[in-house]
Amino acid sequence: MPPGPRPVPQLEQINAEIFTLTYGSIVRQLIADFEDLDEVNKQLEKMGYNIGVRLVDEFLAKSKQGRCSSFREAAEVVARQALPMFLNVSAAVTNWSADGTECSLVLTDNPLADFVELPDEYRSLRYSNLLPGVIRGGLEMVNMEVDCRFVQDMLKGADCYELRLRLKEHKDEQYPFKDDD
Amino acid sequence: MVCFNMYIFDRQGVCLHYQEWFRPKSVRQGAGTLIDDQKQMFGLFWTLSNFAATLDPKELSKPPLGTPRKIGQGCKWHAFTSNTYKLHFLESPSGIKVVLNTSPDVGDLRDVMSYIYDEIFVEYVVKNPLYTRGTPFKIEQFNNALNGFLRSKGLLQAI
Repeated sequence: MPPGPRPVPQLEQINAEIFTLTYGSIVRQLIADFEDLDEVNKQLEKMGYNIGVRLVDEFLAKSKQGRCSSFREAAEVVARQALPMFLNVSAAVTNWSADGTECSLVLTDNPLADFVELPDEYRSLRYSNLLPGVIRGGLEMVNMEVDCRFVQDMLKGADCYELRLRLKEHKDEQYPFKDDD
Repeated sequence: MVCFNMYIFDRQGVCLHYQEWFRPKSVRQGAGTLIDDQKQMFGLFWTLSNFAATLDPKELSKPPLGTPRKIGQGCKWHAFTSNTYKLHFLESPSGIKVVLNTSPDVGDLRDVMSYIYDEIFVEYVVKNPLYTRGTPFKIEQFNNALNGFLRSKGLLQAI
């Protein structure tokens, strides 16, 4: 390997339409299996969580991101590096709360929900609920417990997608073995 | 230049992977069993990281030794050398710790360690759909990629 900084490994690319259509068929199948929309929302979030806990290692490897010194920095990294890297969308971080534990991630487009129209009887379905789950899973692996949910959804008539991210706890490292072992 | 052995731990202290190439002193003479050996290793890194953060001469606020740390807080140590071996360490922000013991003459292996994490661990272990996170793994492709990479770096020469 030549000396000097290593080139950043390339991320594999996938066709955006295939991604959107695959996600759409997953949601469709979940609705058919569960029928209760709240349950579908929960399942989507859980699937997102499982994705997030694995995705974080890949993100750390590909972006060579070191440790974030605060929740504010972590939110910026998610919006400015992680979302563009994996979904090719850019997000803005806005609406910080007074104590710095809550913020909004605003996305102008969402590849998960391209070509989607939500009929009236599915108004309580959170179609893109996978995404908050991914963010929650990823941040939990770096010891930040967060609560993430959509507050504005373009499928329901709003003009952008807004995710509200709230820090519940920034945990310390704990020694996993008991001292007397 | 020789590699002796390698450990990969996760945040919970579970040793996800242990591989040895050359270990003349048997585990029984050291810690007793492999599990104890791994626990000792984990305890060592835990204490060393706390110690390094507390002793940092450039750190403006000095937390006393023993206060709970956030992961990655404070300075990071990456290797220590003795007259018979050198131990290299890499901790990712997600808690994955990669440890490599080599002969003392190898130089700075930080690039090698981050390559092992980025391209071998993430590619073959994290992305493996059959692998459950937090459990020890035995993945053929990971071993092959690791051996191939270390060989290409000249780190697996016979003694």
